[in-house]
Amino acid sequence: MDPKVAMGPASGWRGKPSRRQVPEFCGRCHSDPTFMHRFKPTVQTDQVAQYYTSRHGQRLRQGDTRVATCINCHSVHNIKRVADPSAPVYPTNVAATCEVCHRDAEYMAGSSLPNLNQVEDYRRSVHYQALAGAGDLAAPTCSTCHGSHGATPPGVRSVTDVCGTCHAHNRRLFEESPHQAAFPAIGAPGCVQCHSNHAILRSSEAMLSPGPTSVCLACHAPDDPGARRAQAMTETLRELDQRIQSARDALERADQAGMDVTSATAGLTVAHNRLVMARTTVHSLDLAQVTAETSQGIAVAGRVLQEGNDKLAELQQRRRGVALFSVLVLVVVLTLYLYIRESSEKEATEKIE
Amino acid sequence: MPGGQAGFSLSTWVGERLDLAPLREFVRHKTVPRHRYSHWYYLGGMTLFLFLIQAATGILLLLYYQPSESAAFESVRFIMTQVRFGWLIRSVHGWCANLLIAVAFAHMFSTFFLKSYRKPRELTWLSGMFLLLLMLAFGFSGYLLPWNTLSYFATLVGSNIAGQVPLLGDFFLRFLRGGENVTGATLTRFFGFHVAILPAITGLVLALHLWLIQVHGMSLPPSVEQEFAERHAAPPAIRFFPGFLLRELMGWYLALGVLAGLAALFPWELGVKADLFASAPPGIKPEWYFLYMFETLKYIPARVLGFDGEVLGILAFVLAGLLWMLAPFLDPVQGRFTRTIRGAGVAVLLYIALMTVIAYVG
Repeated sequence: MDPKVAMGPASGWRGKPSRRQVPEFCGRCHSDPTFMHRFKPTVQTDQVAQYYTSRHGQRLRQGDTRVATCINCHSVHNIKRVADPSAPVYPTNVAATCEVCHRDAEYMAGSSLPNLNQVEDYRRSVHYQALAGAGDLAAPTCSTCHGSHGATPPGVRSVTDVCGTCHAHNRRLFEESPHQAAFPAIGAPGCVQCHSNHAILRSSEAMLSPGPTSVCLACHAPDDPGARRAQAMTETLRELDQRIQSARDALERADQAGMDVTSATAGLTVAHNRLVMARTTVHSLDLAQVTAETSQGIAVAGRVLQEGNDKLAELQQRRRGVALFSVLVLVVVLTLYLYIRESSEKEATEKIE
Repeated sequence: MPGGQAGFSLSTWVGERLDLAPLREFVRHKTVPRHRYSHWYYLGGMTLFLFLIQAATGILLLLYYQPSESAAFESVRFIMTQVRFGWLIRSVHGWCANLLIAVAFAHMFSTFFLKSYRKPRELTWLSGMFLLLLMLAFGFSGYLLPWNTLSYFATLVGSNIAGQVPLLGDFFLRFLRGGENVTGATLTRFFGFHVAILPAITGLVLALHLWLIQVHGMSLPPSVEQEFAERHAAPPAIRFFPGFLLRELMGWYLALGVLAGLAALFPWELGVKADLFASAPPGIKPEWYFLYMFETLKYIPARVLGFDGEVLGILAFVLAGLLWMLAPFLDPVQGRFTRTIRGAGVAVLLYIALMTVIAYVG
């Protein structure tokens, strides 16, 4: 066949699309529900529409062809399923895919982003540790918070909605707290104010207690009511944590000595759950709520510690019993030995018949 | 009352109903030779004593143990944590099983090297070997009963090996497991073996073994026999009752002390309940008394001269066991095979010890 005929518009050939044409090129199929639902009835077909709501799509329409289009994330010909672990858009690979552009200072020159440290910060976060370290695919990556096709950075008032998608209880408590109205008034970006946006590190009482690690002191004076309440919360949380640790140590000692601590370990889990709830309840800023949780946890931890100590006491009792029995055995053996020695002279030497 | 009524005597009451005089005479006159090897005679009594402890502790455990997939592990935990002295009984039962098999092996090797299997004691040797096999069967069946991860996978691996026997392997496998796989049916079946079938058979064989020993008396090693034959004298002896028995009693008390110490200081672990869908933990291996065979099979190549290596290994062990049992017929008197048989015995002992050490260290 003549190449000019085979590769002509009349025969349906479209040639290589420009970067500006890529979304529509892919959308010819992927935005057609009738066409796509032949292959998978439940597949979404609004990716292109979402894309044009994103900063990438908006800038592409403005003529910036450096922005990401479909092919930047999904590749061109070797397009893989999202569920394929080697796909650029598999959850554990998303950060690296975004990083290709978002870490390149030269490529990103002229962008409105405050810095190019987002992916580096994300890799220090608990979310990344959960995703890449522990293999928890439910842990958030870039697209979880920013969206995949409709990637838009959350505005000030939308931050808690994004975090609250998973941390619903924390969101509810925050919204019922005085911070809900106070934060927007001072331009504080919700959850990000205390927890950061990308470098979200593991939370601890160190964030509440006065000192260089305190997030409260960013706004509160060290001796104002807010700071003092944070201090009180810190103390009750630390007390529960220490009680749990003491109980755990006792159970470990008993377990290593061979005592069965299964039921006590279950109690330890209950105490730990109360600690998690207490830490969550910090977002209410209500000391009474926090104390209600820690009190329950302290009571449970106390019972577990007592159970652990009882096991250790029982172990000591067993050992004393064995020691006493061993003494009795030695006494009997010694008595037998002396009797045998005394009577051995009287034993007749007999010939074997 | 004229003549007075004599006080009640139990022995008189029994004597009026059972003629125990021959038994009393036998016990009174029974003697045990005394020579440089006579301390090995105590191993038989020690084996019997440990077996009786197993029976007693096993009966106590039977009061609480439930032989089902859903309740076995929990019933053992109940025994360990809720039953008064349940931890002691269970731990003694676990430790005593290992001590019993160790002492049984020692007893078997001592009678082998002292050549106690020679005429007229061939049947005593054969019944003793059968008892050793029964003890191993007790160990194998009892190991599954706690239904923890180790139990399950050890039984899986062990029964797989049984299934490799040519022609009859599939039958053995299904007979042992009560099906294709190790399941609750296997547990119930092993429980039946452990508490009913094996004890019944052991009772009969043990009675035969003990009766034969009473009939033939204690054997003298060939060197001692020759020594006293040259002197035209009989070796000195002590009375079984009370001399020998008191000495045995000392050993039994010491064994009891060791068992109590092991049970209290190193309680038998409960483990984790068996999960039939989990994969085998790395480095799973059977108890030490099967370890030398297990380790040997690992070193045999997959194919040997066109035959399956594992099958050849199993057949080799069966053949070796049969030859060992036939020792009385291969070495009936001090003859040309005596040194060969003795050398083979030393080699077997060293092989078992070496392979067991390699299995633990490797």
